[in-house]
Amino acid sequence: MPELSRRGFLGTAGITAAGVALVAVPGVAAVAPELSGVFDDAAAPTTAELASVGPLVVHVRDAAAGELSVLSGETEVVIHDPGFVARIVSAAGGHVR
Amino acid sequence: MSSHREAPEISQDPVADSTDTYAFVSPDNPSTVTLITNYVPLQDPAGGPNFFEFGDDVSYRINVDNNGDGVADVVYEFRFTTTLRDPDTFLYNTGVVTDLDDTTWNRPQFYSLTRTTSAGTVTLDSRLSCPPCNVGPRSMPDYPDLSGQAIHHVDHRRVRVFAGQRLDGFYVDLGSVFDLADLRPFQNLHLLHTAAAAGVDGLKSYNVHTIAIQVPISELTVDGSVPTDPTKANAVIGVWASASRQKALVRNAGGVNTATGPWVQVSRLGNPLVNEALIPIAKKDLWNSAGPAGDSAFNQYVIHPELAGLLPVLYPGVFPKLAAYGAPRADLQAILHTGIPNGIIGGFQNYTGPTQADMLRLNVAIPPSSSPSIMGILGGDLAGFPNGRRVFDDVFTIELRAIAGATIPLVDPSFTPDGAVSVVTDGVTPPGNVRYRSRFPYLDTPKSGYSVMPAA
Repeated sequence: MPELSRRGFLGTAGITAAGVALVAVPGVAAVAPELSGVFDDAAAPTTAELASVGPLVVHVRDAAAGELSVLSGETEVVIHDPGFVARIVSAAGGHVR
Repeated sequence: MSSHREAPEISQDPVADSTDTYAFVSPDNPSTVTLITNYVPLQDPAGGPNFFEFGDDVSYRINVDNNGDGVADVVYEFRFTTTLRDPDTFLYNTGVVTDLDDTTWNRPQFYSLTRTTSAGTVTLDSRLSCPPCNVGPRSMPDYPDLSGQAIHHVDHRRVRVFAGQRLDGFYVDLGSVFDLADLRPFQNLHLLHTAAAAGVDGLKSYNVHTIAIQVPISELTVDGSVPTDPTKANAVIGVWASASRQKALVRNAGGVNTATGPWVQVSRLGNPLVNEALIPIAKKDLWNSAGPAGDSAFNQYVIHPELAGLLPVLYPGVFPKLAAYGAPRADLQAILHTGIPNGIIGGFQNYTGPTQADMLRLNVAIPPSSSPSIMGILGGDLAGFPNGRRVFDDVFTIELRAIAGATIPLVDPSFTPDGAVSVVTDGVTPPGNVRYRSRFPYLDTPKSGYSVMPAA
């Protein structure tokens, strides 16, 4: 999993927590490594690093499963974080379909 | 059509829509193989002021498998970049264009070319020029010379490459075949019959965008050799083209979009007419997104082709033996999915093993024919389709006759094809050599917008 995507995601999401695990996902593992758990505040990128982050898309592909994918550059990372997904759904007014 | 607009999703994305793929031992340079793939189908030559071009956001690939597993071992990737010289005009060209560097060509396109093998990726060139589209004689008074400037030599002149507009080399009677599989020369025999008529070439005035590359045979074979024995497995390569887009596209205000994420395949093409005429419509998009290695999932549509059942219905009494033949079509499976083994056709094989994979299979030890037949192997010419595919091969008629039963005797000698099989055709043949070139890139100069008269 390229560090840039993960750090970009963390910076964009503003998530704080500890412990990140890389999990193999059958069928998508080859192109989309999966992250689950909670995130380490120390991993948050600096302002200078954020300035170098290119466009980044977060796709909530299965809200019920707390699953989202982060698309950046030519990579995709699948993340399981039910709490964060719930906040995104809430921010979207609960109208995510 | 061969693969023009052949699937619902890709029909909405012409820039990434592959129309035909070709692979043949170069007739004028037989130590090389020429690989060609076309995109952007059915270009009306007058379609300006924003004339046709490759997609800057598309990854175009020509894939070569040399060990029979349906997975690419050699990949040539083409990535395009379009620039704008004068943003304050609506014109494609602001004057006469005689040189690719002329500033009067307002929207030049360039491309990078990489070659990927198990050893890694090598950039063969990072800025190669495309030619402009053929606008007309005032804008481009010597288009053959202008487009000829876009034939580049790279990799220490071992590789020739061209990317730009060409006249579509495929020919077929579009208007009739999509009208309930009508074949004008035989429409007097059709279920809904009218008087027989001559075929009409529905593509003769349309252009495409061509990617052509000519590489040494030794760059493609599994052992780096130049095989001379056509019976050996190392003489056969599998070829297909693919196009991919990035997974996410965000449409921003102002028309500048953001593409991001991994590349997702949206189009592929090996054998002509497979996704077009064999794969059912609900599976066509899936087929385009998949690789050849998984084509066993589609084998049922190859060994039980829908068209073989339709022909006896649409042409009552013309194909009784085909109608009575109920066995799985092992002949079509061999031609399209595994290659033809040794011992079936004298002096020829293009078998790649048991993996079912839709690829053009080219036996590079078969030399170019000095008197080629547009009917390829059916015409006794071992250098033609389905031994790879040349630009002039009549793949529609070859596959039509094969599906109608012409090739069943290859695997079932007890079967005698219906009498009509040896003559059935859409009645369209290329007009001599005027549609092709004898040299790279083999496809002819595109029609100009000025020269083409709209059909009645």
